[in-house]
Amino acid sequence: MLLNGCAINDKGFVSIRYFENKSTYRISYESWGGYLSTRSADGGLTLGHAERILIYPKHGNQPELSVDELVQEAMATDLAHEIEPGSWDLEDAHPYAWIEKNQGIVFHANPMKTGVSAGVETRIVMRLPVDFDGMFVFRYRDDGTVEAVIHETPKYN
Amino acid sequence: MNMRRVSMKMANLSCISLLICGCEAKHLAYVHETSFGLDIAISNEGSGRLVMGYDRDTYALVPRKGEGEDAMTLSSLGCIYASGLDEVSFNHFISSGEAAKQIAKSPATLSRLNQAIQGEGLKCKP
Repeated sequence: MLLNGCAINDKGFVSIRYFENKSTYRISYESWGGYLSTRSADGGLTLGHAERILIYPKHGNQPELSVDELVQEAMATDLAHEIEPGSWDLEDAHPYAWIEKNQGIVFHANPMKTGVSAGVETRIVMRLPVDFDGMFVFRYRDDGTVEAVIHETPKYN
Repeated sequence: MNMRRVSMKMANLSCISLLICGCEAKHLAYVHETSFGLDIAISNEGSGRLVMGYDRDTYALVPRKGEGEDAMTLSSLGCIYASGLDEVSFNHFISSGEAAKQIAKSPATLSRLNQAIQGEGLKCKP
């Protein structure tokens, strides 16, 4: 098999775009050849064509909202805008949602899936920690449109 | 002797089932996946798979809040429209904790959210 290139996470032969809105960060990856992900979300090796979209929450001081205000936020459109790479550090962050699209041979090695697949596959995953307290709205279209709004209730110590 | 063989077979089948099936969930998860080809997987949080051909799977995992505790408090609404391998719309609203309890008690709020997620037609609201 001829590999056109290879990449590990955000290094190598991979196209990366960064987006943000009020409450989320979004990173899109697209790679051809060999793509190795060491993230716990989508860990594994793809030989072929790999696309990833990962949604990360912006942790921080979010105001306490009433239920009506939460619903208003959920119904509002808050499209993300593209930003420069390196604007934020997601070294230890875990995405709350992600989309995987793979064509080729994939060796999956992550908590959600351990195994091998060959062919074409698409996965849409929303994965929240057990202590999540708040609201998460996620919309995805196959034309690549992604909207995400996350509001976590402030935790007072 | 026959009973012993049956017991051993049952034990082996149970072990294999445990390996293929997921262990207890540690995260809240909503998953929609489509595959065409060969797909073999086991999972610690999810469902095991053995697929040759075309398959579409949608599932949710709701964990317990802690050892011996109840499952997470949730109010969620989802809409998935899928056609073939490429066309997919996925809308999902999740709330947990106090917000989930208040939303669940309000039919008007649930209706508004349903409208925002589902929309009117067959496809999910854009």
